[in-house]
Amino acid sequence: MNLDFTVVPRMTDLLLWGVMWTVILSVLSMVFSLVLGAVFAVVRLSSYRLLRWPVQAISWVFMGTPLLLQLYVVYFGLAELGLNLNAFTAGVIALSLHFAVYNADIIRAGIQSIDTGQYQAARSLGVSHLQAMRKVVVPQALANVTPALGNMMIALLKESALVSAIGVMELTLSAQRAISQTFRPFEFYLAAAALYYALNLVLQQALRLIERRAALTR
Amino acid sequence: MQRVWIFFAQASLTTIKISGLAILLGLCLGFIAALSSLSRLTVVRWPARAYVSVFRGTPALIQLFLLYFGGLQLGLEMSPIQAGIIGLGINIGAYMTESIRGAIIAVDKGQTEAGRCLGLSRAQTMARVILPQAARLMVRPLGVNSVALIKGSAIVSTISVTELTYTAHRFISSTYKPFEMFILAAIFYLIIITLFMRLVQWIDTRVALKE
Amino acid sequence: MQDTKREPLIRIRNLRKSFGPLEVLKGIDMEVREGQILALIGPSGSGKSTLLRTINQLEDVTSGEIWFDGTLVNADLPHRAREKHLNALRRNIGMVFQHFNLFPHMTALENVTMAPVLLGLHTKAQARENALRLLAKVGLSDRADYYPSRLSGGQKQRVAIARALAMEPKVMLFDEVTSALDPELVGEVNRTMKQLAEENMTMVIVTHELKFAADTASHIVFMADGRIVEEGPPDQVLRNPLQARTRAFLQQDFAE
Repeated sequence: MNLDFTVVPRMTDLLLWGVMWTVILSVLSMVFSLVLGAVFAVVRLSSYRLLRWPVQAISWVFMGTPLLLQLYVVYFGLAELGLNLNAFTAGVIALSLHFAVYNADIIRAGIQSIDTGQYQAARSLGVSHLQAMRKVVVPQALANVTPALGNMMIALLKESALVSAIGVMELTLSAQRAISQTFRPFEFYLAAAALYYALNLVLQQALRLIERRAALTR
Repeated sequence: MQRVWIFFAQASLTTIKISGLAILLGLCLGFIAALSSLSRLTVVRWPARAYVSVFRGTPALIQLFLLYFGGLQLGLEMSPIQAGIIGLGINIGAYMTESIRGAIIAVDKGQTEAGRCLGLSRAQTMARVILPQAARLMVRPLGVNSVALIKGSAIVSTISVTELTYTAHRFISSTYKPFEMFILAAIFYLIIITLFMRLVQWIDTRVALKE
Repeated sequence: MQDTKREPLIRIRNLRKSFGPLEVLKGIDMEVREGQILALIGPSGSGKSTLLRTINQLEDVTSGEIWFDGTLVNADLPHRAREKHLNALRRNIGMVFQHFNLFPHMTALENVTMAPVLLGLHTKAQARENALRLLAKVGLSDRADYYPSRLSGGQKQRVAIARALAMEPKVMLFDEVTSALDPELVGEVNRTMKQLAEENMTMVIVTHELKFAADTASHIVFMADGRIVEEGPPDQVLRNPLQARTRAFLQQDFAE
């Protein structure tokens, strides 16, 4: 067997650069996907069919097709329309849209799962609509959806590796760069896997903290 | 355009073939790992837990590259299709482990007690009492895993397997009509997934019939 | 006739059981003789269900001994040997649960025949014949091919009794078998148990129903707070209890 892990430390800078951009890319996409997901959820619960329909169509398409294909379309397709995005922006847009659709489903279910009796009870105490939503409905919905949204964020972090296919310089692509210099795919893909695993553990810890806080507000 | 359709149709068959075989591999691994993870023995439980944690904790794309390019380096020569099936199968197996394990755990504890009280061994109770009931509970989650796999199978395009996404990508770069190509590929994916979900539903009603 | 000098079928010696810091059985000594119908009564949380479940080791114990038919049930054995030992013992100890625990993916008949066939006690044909006889005995001949979801609670429990009987056990354990039933269905299950009692089946019954215990049992054990407070024939324990704790329990119950 021909393995030499001493080549890995020599590429530390390159790999850490990759880690940094994976984190930046993922965090940005997480934030956008959550915001957009909330918007989609509200729209899908609204009574305006004209608003609801496009969002429904978007979620059907985004849920039924691979993320990789979506990435290609955002990157190459928008260029066809004259919108030349750099790979990073295209990656963030595709990841955000893709996960926003899933987040929207989770958030919508979370809102619907709140017993209407909770809202009515608040209103019968003389609390206003906004206060009832803010103090009673939203905290409960938040506690309900946090674990599922957390799982989505974990999936997002892993799926962010796909943006290497459109040439975004993140962890996977930096591993590939290291490989093209050293011809040692096993060592560097293993190193990349270990780094993703570590990022994943950190994210899981962070989510656990958030979940605990969300649960406490119940 | 006629020609393009034919290419896409052939590519869908490849997507179906790769996904189908990967799902089968994933199911086998999932069952073995799920049963192992419920074992009383640490030496049996630990590898199963590690498998799930590692393969759910890292990107499928990296796993695929590690298998295909890293394997080559270690003298493990595989065709892209073989690497694709094995890589996807091992990856989805980790998720399926959790679905199967969850279904087994969800069967009421009283069922195990009743089986054991009749003098059945642990293995007999598992085979005759628990698994037949767990099977009903696992159809849907395994269906969700499988749909994710079908979509996820797009990543094997990066090791040049000529499945749907690879074909779309190729035509996008050659024709510069990304939207048309996207819509075409999307239609095929949506057809495959819709048909597959029908199949899952059919299995679900078959399995649930008797109660 | 029973030889009273023979070794009791079940003998429990200084049995203790803790769940973490909570001691639920605080030194139990008890015997069950062949043909005896023993009813375990007491307030909830007294440990009577736990005690019953230690007899076939659904609950392991902290210390003490359980002997069944001359064998130490809770023998200290390596895992594999212990499993074998328990499987062999459990074939001879039938159990009926509060929540039936029928196998929902099998018909009533299959529920009854599975274990005897699987364990090589009977051939398929024999097991079927035997099962039909047992289902007839519990009054469910016409329900043999029904799945549990289509049976009432009382019917389910009678199938569960037939299932346990199919192993031809030396003793039957009943764990609050009528507690989960609608009141109008309790009678049919009680009648089945009474019938078994009349056939001299050895039975240990955990129950809340004092009237049933008084009518059916040959021996009553009253437990409270993890201890046996008083035991004896029904006439004594239920009508003229010696202990204040027993009297308080009975008064409370009759007051309900």
